[in-house]
Amino acid sequence: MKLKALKPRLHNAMFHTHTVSGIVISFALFVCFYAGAVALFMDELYQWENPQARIDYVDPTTVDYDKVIKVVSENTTVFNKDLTFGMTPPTKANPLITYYGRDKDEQNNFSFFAATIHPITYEILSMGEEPNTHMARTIYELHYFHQIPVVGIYLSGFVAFFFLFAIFTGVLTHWKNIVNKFYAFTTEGKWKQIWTNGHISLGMITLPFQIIYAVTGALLGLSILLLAPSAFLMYNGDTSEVVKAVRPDAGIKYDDEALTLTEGTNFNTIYQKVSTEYPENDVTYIYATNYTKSDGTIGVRVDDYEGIAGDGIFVYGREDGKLKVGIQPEVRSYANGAYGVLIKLHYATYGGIFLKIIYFILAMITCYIIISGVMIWRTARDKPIYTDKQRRFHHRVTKFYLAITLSMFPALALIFLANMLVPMDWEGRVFPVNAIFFSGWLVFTLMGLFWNNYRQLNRNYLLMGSVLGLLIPIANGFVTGDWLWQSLMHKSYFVFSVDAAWLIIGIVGLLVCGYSLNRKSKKDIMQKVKVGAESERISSEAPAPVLQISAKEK
Amino acid sequence: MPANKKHLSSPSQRILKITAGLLGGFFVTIFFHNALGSVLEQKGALIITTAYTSFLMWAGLMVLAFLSKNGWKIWGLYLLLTLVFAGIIFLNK
Repeated sequence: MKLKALKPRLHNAMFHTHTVSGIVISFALFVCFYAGAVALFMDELYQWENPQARIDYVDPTTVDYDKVIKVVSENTTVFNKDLTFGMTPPTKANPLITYYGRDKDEQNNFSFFAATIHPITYEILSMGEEPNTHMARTIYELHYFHQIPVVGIYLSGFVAFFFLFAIFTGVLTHWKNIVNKFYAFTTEGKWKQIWTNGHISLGMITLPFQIIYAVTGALLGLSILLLAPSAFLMYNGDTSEVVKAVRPDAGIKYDDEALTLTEGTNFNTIYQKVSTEYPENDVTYIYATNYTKSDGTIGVRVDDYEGIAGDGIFVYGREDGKLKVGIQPEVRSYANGAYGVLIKLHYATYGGIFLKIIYFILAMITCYIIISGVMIWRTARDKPIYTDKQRRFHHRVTKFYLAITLSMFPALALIFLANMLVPMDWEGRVFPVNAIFFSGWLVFTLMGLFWNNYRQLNRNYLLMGSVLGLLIPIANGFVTGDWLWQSLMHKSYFVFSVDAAWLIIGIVGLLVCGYSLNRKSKKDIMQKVKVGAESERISSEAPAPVLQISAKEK
Repeated sequence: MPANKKHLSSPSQRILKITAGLLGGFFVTIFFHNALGSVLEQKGALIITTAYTSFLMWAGLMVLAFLSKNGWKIWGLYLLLTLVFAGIIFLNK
């Protein structure tokens, strides 16, 4: 069945804008999806990345949260109780309490600190500007380019927005073939056909997923573009009114000059109140603002991680202990609940671990669609109507693109290794771990520029990533003593599954390298026979490194 | 096969369409949603709806700009719509 095609002028306009917008964002979009796919498991990775967190699960209702505040303020000078501070209660994935606080100097510069605290002994396990392990967080921050100062998040927002544009134009471009190409996923025939068929049929399958991410990603990155004009046009420039509409708890105003509070309700009372009222929903964060002042509040965020509307926020006045603002889970108005739904759609926190795995697979398919798009772009331009100079340019762009994106796999394995091998008790160990990751990624990318054949490039990265990946469970075993079989026997499934996943990835990667990618491709052999003597002559003229491929195929 | 050049517009037209889609489309989106908001008493639901409809609408208007034949006309249309919505906001102030 074929749908009615667009008129030639419209089709070509859509085709061209799809190509241009797609090529421009492709690098960045791949990084967003690849790093983001791993970041879905940020919580689940925690026990693996921080061996101190490999303790038995502690019931969060038994923890004395006010004691935690006391212990922290006794041990640090850079903690201002009037600024927002808070902590995450122990969970199955992360049994430690993580504490976030900040301070402000005379020039209004904020300084942040984070501490991890043992939920039974209340011993401070680590304290500093950053948590002592930052591995999954680095990957998470990479997916919205947090490492680029100031503009990173907006850049990622624009990438998401142009992704939405590319989805629209892509659907319109392939409109005619969208039904019949859906069944045409092939691995035989010409490369151009393989890339195109995969691009269209997989693109169709992942279309809803991609629209979700394009819209929520644009929202998370570019909300300022919506909020600022609305504040100006509807509320005479008062931004807090707009913020209040989206997040009622963020609209509460605090007075720096408010009276000092001597007696008030405490964290434990509020925690008990919320957790008895909502036993199905875990408390994910408990925090306070203006804690020592009469207008101070204690807020609680809850989530059941199961329902699309399973999250909620309750903010209590510290002085009287009465509820000031509350968004209940499940039963709430559209206006109060829709933002939470958008966030949950983005973070995949509404269907348990299996939903996250589905999200992960869909994200990987999206990565394939992005790569295949670039490959279509290059294969379609690998024709005699283009000059050598143009073809060399197309080849260089493609090679650079493949080097950046495919080297993320070994770089990812590298950060897992670096996190294990940089000693846990080092002061400021986050920096060397991140440095190893980013410089490793850079080195891998540069190496790729010397491999002229895409097949070789792909195989080498797969090989490097698989070997490094196989070292990960070994490194974990040597450093922490939690070998695969031991973590399985002790039922520490979070640690076990990370090691097991890397073991499987490593083995599968090596098998693919050995059985599939090491042979010469059938298509390449056939092509060589076809082009014959002329190309033999050209390729024997020792072309410049970048030219090799295009010269051979001439 | 890359897009056929004979169907693509000249550089000056292209600049007009890109700016119309990016800037004009953004203005139309923002003023449309705020014009709706200015008539409503309860604005909360609209603001949260804006969070996702505006990006869809903006991207749609960008597509429309590229589908149009004449960049001047699409700029004119988007400016006109912006002014109409701005008028609605002004009247409801």
